[in-house]
Amino acid sequence: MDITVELRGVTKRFGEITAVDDVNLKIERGEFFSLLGPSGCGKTTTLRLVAGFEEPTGGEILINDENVGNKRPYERNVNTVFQSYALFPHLTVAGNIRFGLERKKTPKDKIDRLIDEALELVRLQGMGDRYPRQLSGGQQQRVALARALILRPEVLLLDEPLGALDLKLRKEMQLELKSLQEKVGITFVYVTHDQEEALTMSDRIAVMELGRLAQVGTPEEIYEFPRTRFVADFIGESNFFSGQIISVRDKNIVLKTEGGLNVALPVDEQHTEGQHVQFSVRPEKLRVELPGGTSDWENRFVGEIVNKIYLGDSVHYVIALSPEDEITVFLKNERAAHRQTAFSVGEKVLVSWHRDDCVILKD
Amino acid sequence: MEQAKLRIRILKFFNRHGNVKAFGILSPCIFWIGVFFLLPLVLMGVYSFLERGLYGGVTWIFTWENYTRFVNPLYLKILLRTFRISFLTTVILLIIGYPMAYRIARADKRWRNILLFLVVLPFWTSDLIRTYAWMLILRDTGLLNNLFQSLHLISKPLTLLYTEAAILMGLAYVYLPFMVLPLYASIEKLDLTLLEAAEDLGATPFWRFLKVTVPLTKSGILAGSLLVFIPSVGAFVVPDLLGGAKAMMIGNLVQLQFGPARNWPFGSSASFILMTVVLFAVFAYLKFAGGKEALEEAR
Repeated sequence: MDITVELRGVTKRFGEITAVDDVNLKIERGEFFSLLGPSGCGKTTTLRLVAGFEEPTGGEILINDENVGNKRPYERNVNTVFQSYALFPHLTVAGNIRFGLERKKTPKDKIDRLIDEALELVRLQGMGDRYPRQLSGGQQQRVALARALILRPEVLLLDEPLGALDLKLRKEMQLELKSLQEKVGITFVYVTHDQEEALTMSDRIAVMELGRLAQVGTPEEIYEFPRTRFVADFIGESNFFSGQIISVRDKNIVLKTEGGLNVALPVDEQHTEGQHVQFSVRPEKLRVELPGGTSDWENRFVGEIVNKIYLGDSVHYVIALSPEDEITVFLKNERAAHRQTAFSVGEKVLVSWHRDDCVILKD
Repeated sequence: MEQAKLRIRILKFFNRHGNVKAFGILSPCIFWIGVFFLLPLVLMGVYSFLERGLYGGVTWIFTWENYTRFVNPLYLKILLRTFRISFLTTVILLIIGYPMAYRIARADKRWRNILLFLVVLPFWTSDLIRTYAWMLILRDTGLLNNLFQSLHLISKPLTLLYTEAAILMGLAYVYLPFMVLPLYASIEKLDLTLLEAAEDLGATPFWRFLKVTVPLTKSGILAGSLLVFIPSVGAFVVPDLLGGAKAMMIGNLVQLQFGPARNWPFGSSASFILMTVVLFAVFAYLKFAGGKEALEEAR
């Protein structure tokens, strides 16, 4: 494995507050890696530690196997795209791009060519003479990208770079960023609190909670097999149940929820009878039919619809399976004639899901 | 009812005639500047072309003599000294004031206001009194000379008072807040992410200062320099008390002509010459240091 950035037990404290707590991480060369978490989880501090704006309280930061913990930002072959873009207002677009190239002692005749190349990369040809204030937010964003990318850093750090853009532009830029990253092949470390953004663009995601890594994995791993309740809750939506395991027979686990439902859980060897566990199941994995339907999935319960939210492309139902167990179901709005999406509040329905769609959580 | 209608008609009139409205709002200011600034200026302009009266005042006879008289090594030397001292004061204050303003702007919020308060604190006493205090420190039997002698650093007292250096020091002391406050205002506004971006793009602290911090705080540098330079050129209390007759500045010359010499026309022409030179100097400075934008702002 070719590692560009490695964090070994990195900790950062601000006075009493521990912003980053013993983080161990390996980021591969050419990877689009996202740090995802709610505000205050330490993702931005982690990024700033790699950039060199903060010094770690403990641990080591390696870039290309070299410990850069005590190096100043200008001594690191790392560049940052700031949330606010941080374009120099007194310089033109070309001047902003030139700034880094000149500091890198690029030969004069090469600089102009590289500036053109940078502008072309982000499709801003001919805008070199404009000042940042004359550009739209999306264009400023591109200049910030061009300015950093043209320096060919080992790692490009992006701190919520799309946060200030409107939704439509953000979606466009997501795809553009991803294809740009594939084109230049530079390692991207991307900080975001937007789970959808992280899922769309990343090769791997690290979910952070209270300064620690909650889970690291591909988007599929994180979404399908969240390790903790926090991850399951933060990424997408989940139904949570907890209860006691009442039987483990031929590795088949049955759990009795607090509301008294007997739920079949996926086969595994770690759990024993009597254990208290928590599991989650995604709302879109559930099937809803009229009572007496044809579902042959292990978990089948009759419940009553207590709430219905119509969202256009989908309908969300809240269904009471027992006085204490409510479950949320997302149904795609498929064919209007189909009875499937036309249940109404108060109706009795059969809810079913496959045992393998239950994910047992660590805590 | 009638009154309300009238009010509406008046308001409508003002809305149609925006410049009348603007004139109405500005009239106190126009009155003030007209009576207390423009009128005396015109008066002095007229006086500068008249012959002196016997006991002050003027005699209404036209003459160029007040201007031709100024073209004299004696007066030109005073003008030159005035500009030299003012220029050096400005440079010294930039060097002292910039780090000071920077530190204050970057200080903890609680401290910032206290520090700013300390900067303006000297304004609480008249600069006349503060300048007298400097005399006590600088004179031959003053605080500094006594201290150096008791430490056996020197055997004879140094001549500190009545020198150009004393004026320089006194002016720098009096005008420090004028430099620090505008610098503070522009440094405080400086976006720290831009400094991080500069470092991120490979700029060492020195380059970062030169290429980002200075250009982005240029407005403060310009304002501070002008606020120090212009009053320095016209200063007369400090050079009078700390410079004495040996190091006269043009402010003292003007004061001398209007006061003891009772030559109002020559005092007026000296003022006008000073004003013209300052205007050109400021214009040239803004053009050179500020580029087009600053010039536009100044207009």
